[in-house]
Amino acid sequence: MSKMKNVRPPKWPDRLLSWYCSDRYFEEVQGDLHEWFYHRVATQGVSRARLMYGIDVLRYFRSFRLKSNEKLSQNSNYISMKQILKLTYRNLKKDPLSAFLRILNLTVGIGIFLLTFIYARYELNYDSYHDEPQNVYRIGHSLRTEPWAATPMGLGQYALDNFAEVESMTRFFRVSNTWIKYEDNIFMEKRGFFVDDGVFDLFKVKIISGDLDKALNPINAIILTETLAIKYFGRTDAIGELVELETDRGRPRQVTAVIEDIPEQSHLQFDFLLPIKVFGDRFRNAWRNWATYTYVRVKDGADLENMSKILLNEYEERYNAQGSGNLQPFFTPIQKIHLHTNHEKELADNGNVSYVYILLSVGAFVLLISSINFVNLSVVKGFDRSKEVGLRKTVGASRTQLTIQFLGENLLLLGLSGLFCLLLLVIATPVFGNFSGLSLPLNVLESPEILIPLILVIFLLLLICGVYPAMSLSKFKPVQVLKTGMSHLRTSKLGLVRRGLIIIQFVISIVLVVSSFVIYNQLTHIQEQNLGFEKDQIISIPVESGPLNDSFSSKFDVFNDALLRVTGVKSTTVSSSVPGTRIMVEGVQEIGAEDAVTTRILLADDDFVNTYGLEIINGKDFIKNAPDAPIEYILNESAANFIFQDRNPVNEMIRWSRDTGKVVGVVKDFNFQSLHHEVEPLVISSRGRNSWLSVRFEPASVESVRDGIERLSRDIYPDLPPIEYEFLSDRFENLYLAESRLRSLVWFFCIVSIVLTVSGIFGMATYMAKQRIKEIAIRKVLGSDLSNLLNLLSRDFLVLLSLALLIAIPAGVWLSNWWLRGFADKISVGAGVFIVSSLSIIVLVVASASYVTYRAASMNPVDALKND
Amino acid sequence: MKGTHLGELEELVLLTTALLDGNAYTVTIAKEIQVQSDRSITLSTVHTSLHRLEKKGFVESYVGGTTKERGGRRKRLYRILKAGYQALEQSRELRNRIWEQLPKPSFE
Repeated sequence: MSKMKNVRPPKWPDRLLSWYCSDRYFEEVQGDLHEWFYHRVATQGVSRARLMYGIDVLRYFRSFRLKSNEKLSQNSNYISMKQILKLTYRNLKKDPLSAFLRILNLTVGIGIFLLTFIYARYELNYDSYHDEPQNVYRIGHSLRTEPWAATPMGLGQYALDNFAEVESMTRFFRVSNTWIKYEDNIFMEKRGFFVDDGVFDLFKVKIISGDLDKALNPINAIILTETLAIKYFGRTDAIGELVELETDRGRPRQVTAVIEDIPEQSHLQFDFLLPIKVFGDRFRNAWRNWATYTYVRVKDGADLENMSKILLNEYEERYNAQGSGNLQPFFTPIQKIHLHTNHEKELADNGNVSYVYILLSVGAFVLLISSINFVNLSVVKGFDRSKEVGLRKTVGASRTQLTIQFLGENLLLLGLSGLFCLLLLVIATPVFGNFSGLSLPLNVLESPEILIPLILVIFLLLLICGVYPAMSLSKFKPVQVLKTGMSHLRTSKLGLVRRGLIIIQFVISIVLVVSSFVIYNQLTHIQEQNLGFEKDQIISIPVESGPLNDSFSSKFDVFNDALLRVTGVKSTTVSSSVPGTRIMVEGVQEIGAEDAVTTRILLADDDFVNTYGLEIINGKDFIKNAPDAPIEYILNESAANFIFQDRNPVNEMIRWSRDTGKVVGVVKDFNFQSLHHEVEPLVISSRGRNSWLSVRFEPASVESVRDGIERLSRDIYPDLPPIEYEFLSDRFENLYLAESRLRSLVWFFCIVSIVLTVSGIFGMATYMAKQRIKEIAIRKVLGSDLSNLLNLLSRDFLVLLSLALLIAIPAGVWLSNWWLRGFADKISVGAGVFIVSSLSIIVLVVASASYVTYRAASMNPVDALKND
Repeated sequence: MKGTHLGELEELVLLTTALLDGNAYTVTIAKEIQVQSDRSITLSTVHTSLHRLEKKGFVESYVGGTTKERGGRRKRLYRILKAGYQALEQSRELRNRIWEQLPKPSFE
């Protein structure tokens, strides 16, 4: 015992205990611990007891013994939070319809807004994987007013040599379509480029194997993306493997690096890269062809204007065009390319920034509609609770406390909706992906950054939607509400603010319906529009004019003859382009005129006019089957007017490049581009060229034609990859892909907004009918019939709807015309659209209000009155 | 019956509390369990169990006297309540009932 007297429990655990343990438990716990310590000393020895004492103290660390817990349970905010949760739960349970409508509205509203927000962010963040993307530019130039994406090849080297501001430069020069062969694997590849050594300085691609610094050094190097490497080798460590390219004429290439696939968010997509050094200095520094894409990274704060000026000098010197003002070089920030440019020779079908903003604003409108429903339903729900508010005020709740309570309720609903909406987005991911072809980061677990806009939206809504109901509810005078209940004047009619909000909802819905109709009609119009040539019965096959051995053109004549014998094939033609693809722009000169003019020029054989069903309005077609015939030209109407004004072009001589020839005919204008453009002047030259083979077929024998092409491809070209072909109508549909997507999305959002608006009206009408249940019963007893009652209860909404129509129709007209201005050939927005969309909204609103009224009016008045 | 379920450890603590009639508090209960079941148990576990039992209405607590080892600090003593006793009885009856129905096991 005497020994034990000297032993004391260590001090630090005691201090720890007194720090965390609440006073309620401290004394007993410390006493117990000390007693246990001496018990341990007696049974296990001093040192072990001291050690275990600390551990025991730590083991006591449980939440219910904490000081903070004790403080919390006395904290008034904690208590009121607990109460808010409880009351919210009870309120929601008491009126499940209203709760359901409010949560549904918020979920759908926030979800759709978030979806459009994520989409917009995705579109706006193209091409940001580069090093210092804000300093990376593509150099382009405009010829007269037409901007070009592609520039002469010599430009890049010139810029690198002459501008100190240019840190690095790379050119992208397209490799013409080619097959790549590795052992038995042979496929057509279309996305390859010759590039400069500087490419990886600008384009921060991720390396999988190989050394990027040296990858472009060997003249026969090829760099593959992961996808391509797996396609050919089944693995990514393919360094040193040899492949053959059609364009290399038998010399093998060596894989020097495998890189990750280019991010989807980039306008410049490629599968393989070759060194541009393959070409000699002369070719690389030539200023002849405008077919090279030049990218540079400049130093911070580089004077682009000055550089453009110096470039302009060089341009004018090279082309002998001093002071003509025809040429103008410019720098396009790489991040702007995707949404802001649609230049001549653009590498990709770029997006359209206005479509991004249209969708974003439609998303915001849907959010607005749903927030208005939320506000309105919350306010009317609040009137039910006027007695609760009155009582709370009487027992001393301040207005601030009540406001906080209602805000707390709203926050809870918003938070709940936020969670549902995250779930909704996860469900929507595959649907949206299928539909848009984009893999948007919609899953919160994979991309937690979408929580940031979600939380911002929730807080914004809390501020906007929460404050008004909370303030208007906490304003009640307690004596008044307790004495009489809510005065009927206030609850049976809509307040001014709510009327305003409902009008806004109607306006938005009507404008959305009108816009959907206009977009739908315009696109249908375009797709049904007679383009002036046959597009539905044409199959086009790309034919690259490669080297004669082993390529498609080697046995082209055999193939073509065999094809003409296939059942269902009416005629074939070869041309340098087909409608829907880019047609080149060149200078054409009338013999005897001073200057050349630039027009589109198409090289075609003597079957082109016939195969495409063009209408000759003046002169005649090319001479048939005459291999040694002189070059002849056919113009479209626009070109005839452009080159010859009022004179008759037939039999006049014109020259393109080195070909001088006679104009033999004029064809009616046809839409060889998308209908976003006016028909441009087009010159068709009889110098046929194997770039595209077009096949006109009998619609009834389409299967036989397809089989025929596939069979001939196998029989005539056993060593080549299968011939790829496409229907021209598909190509034209692709020209309007952006619009088609926009159409479906706007339709979808339009339907959602109508459903939300009607759900709001439904909720409001239900509430109003409930408030006036006794009035309705008495009216019924006194002899009102159903139609009187319907009129009584729906009148309010109809008045608001008429007001909304007054605002919505001019807004709809303006908006529709604004959108339509992007089309050369547009529909006129007629009254029909407005009548149909107004009527559809009116019918829906009246129907939902009437349904509610009908239910209220058809009940037995006794049930409503017997309780008094 | 939500919240009145008796866990295995809780049952043991409750039984021991009943056993140590009048002198049941964290330390004595922990010691008794060690003696009876030869299983080592920490003070905080016992304390947490007692806290739960009290919330369930099976035991009540009162502040009791002090001893030298406690350095003058008072202890919190526990006493089993009727509901607690019934819960123990129920648990025992349940076991007995099932035991009686048990066929004679053959482990060969």
